[in-house]
Amino acid sequence: MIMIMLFVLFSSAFLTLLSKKYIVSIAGIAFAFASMLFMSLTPDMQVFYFSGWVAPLGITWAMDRMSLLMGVLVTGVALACAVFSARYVSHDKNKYYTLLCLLTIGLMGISLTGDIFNLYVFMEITSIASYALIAFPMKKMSVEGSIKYLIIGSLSSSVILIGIIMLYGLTGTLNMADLATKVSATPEFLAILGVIIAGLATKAALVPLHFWLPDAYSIAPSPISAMLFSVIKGASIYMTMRVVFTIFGLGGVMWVFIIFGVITMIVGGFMALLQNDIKRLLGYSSISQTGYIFVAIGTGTLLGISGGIFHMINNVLLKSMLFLCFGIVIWHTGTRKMDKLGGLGKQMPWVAFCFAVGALSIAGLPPFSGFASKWVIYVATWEISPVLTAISVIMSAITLAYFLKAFSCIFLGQGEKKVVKKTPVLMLAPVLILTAIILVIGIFPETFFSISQQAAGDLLNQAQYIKAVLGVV
Amino acid sequence: MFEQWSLFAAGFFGFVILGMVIYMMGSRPSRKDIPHDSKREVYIGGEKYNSEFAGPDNFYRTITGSHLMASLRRLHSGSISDYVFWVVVASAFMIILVVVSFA
Amino acid sequence: MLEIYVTFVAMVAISIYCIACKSNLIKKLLGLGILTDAIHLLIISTTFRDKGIAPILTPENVNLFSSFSVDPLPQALVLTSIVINLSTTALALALAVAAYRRFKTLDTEKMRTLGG
Repeated sequence: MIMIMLFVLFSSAFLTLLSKKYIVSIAGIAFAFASMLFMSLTPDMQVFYFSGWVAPLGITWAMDRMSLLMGVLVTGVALACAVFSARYVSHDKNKYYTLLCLLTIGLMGISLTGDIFNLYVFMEITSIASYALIAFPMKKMSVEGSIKYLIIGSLSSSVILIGIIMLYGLTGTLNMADLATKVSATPEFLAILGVIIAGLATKAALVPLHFWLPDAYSIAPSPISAMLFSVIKGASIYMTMRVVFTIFGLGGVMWVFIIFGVITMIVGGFMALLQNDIKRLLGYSSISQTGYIFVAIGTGTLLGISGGIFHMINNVLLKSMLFLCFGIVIWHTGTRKMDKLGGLGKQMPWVAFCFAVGALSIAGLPPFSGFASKWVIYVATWEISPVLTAISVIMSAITLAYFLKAFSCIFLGQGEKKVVKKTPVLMLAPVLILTAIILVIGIFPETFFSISQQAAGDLLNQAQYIKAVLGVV
Repeated sequence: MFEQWSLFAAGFFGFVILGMVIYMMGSRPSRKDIPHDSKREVYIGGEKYNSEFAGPDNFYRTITGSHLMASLRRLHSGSISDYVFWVVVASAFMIILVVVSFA
Repeated sequence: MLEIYVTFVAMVAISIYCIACKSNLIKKLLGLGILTDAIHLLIISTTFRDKGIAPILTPENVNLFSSFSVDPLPQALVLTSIVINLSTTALALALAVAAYRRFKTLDTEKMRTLGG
C-alpha cells in the first residue's frame, strides 16, 4: 500500500513537469492524503521491507501511530497549500508544482522511514525542495533568504550526518529498531546523541540556533510559508522525538529540552512584539510555540509528550491556516507591513473571522483548540516545577498581546488599501476548511488528545517497535 | 483531563487575562485623530521609526523602547556570519549539556 | 587511525572558519564543500582494516573474505552523500549567480536587506 502511494506521488511530480498540466500534482497529493486516511483505519503497526530484504539487512519503512499522524498532517496541509497555490502563483506553475510534490515526498519519507540514513536522505530532499521554493519569486529578498537558509541548513544536515556515521561506527547498523537494541546510555553514545540533537535543533529552530528562520521562511510565497512553518518544523520535531525516544530510549526529565525550550519561548515571544512585518511576526510566534513543544517533550512523562504532540498538531493546523489567510491579504493588497494595512475587516469578513479564530487559539483562550493543548502543557510542567508553568502562562499572555496588535492593525481601524477583486473560492476554501477543523478540535478536545496520547504511547513503547520491525523480542 | 470545573476556571482566568491585555494595549488612535503634518515618531532601540501602532505611552512603547529589546533586535542583524557563529557556539554548549545531564 | 581523526577535525575546523569568517559567498560555499569532504573521509574511515581487500567475492578469496574484506556499506553511503551534496552545491551556485545579478556584489555583509 505504501509503495503504491509513493509511486503515485513520484510519478505525479515528473508528469507535472512533462505534461504542463499542474492538476496532476494536485491529484497526486490528494491521492496520498486519501491513502494515509485509509491506512489509519488499521490499528496495528505496518512494516514494509524494500525489495524483500528483511531488517536489519535492508531499508525498512515502519509506520506506528506517530508516523501515521505525521503522514496525515503532512499530506493534509500539502493538499491545502496545493489547492491554494492554484490561484496564488501566477507564473511557472509547472515547476512550482513539481517542487511542491518533491517537498511532500520528502516529508512523507521522513515520517514513515525506519532507517536512519534514509531519514537523512529524505531530510535532504525536503531541504533542497524548500531552498528552491523559497527562492521561487526570484526577487532580491527571496534569493538572499534562500542563500542564508541553504548555508545553515547544509551545515546542520552535515552535523546530523556526522552523528549518524558515528552511530554506525559504534554499532554497525543503520536500522532504527536494530540501533535501539544496541544503544545504551554510556558517555560515547550520549555524545553522539548531543551531536544529533544539536543538528536537529538547528533545523527546528531552538533559540540560539534560530536566527536564519525569520529571514528565510518569512519571505517565501505564502502557501510555501504555510508548509514550511507548519510541516517542516513538525518534521524536525518528529525527527528529534524519534531519535530520542525510539532509538535512545530515554525517559524522565530532559533538562536540555527544558532549558532551551524556555529560552526559545521567551525570546520568540518578545521579538514578535517588536515586529512591523506580519510574516516575521508569525515567524517569531512559530519559534515561540516550538519552545512550548520542547518544554512539554522535556518533561518526559506520557502526559507531557502527548501534550507536546497535541500542541504540534494544533500548531501545524493553526500556522498553516494563518499563513494562507495572510496570503489572501497579500494577494489583495500587495504589502506585508502592518503600517500600511488597516481597515480590512469590513472588506474581508471571512478572512478576518478566520484570523481571529487562529489568533485567539494560539494564545490559548478557552473555547479554542490551542487552549486544550496548552492546558495539558501547564499540567505536565506543574509536576516538574511551578516556575515553568508560570513562565508558560506569562508567555501565553504576551502571545495574546502581539496577536491582538496584529489583528487590530490589519483588520480594524481605517486604512488606505481597498479590496477590489473578489477572493477566489480556491483560495478561500482551504482556509475555511482548516478553520472548521480547528473549531472542531476546540469543541471536542478529548478525541484529539486521545489520538496524541496513543501516538506518544507508541513513541515511548520501544519494545513494540523493535518487535514489529525485527520480528523477535 | 478536561472536566467541567477545570475548563470553567481556566475560561474565567483566560478572559481576565484578555481584559488586562486589552487594557494595557491602550486604544489605537484612528487616523483622523492625528494631525496631518505631525509624524508619529517612535524610537525603537535607538533608531527612529515612523509607526502608529506603537501607540502613546502604553505597554508596547515600554517594552519596545527598552535597551534589552534593542540589543535583542541588533542580534538579528541579518549577517550570516554572525548566525553561523551562534550555531557553532550553541551546538557545542548543547553537546556538553546533553552528556552532563544524562550521565 | 589517529591521523584520520586528526585530519577530519582539522578539515571541519577549516570549513567552519570559512563559513563563519569569510564574507565572500563563494568562499562560504567552498567551506561547505570542504565540510562534506571531511564527512566522507570519516565515513570511509569507519571501514578501515589493516591489509584489507576490496569487498568483491570471487572464487579465489572465499575463505579470506569475511576476515579481510572492508565493509561495503559505508561506500554506498558515501556515494549517496556525494550525490546529495552535488545537487545542493549546484543549487547553491545557481543562487549565487542570481544573487550577483541582483545585488551586484558577492559580499554577504552587503546582502542584508532583511534583518531585525
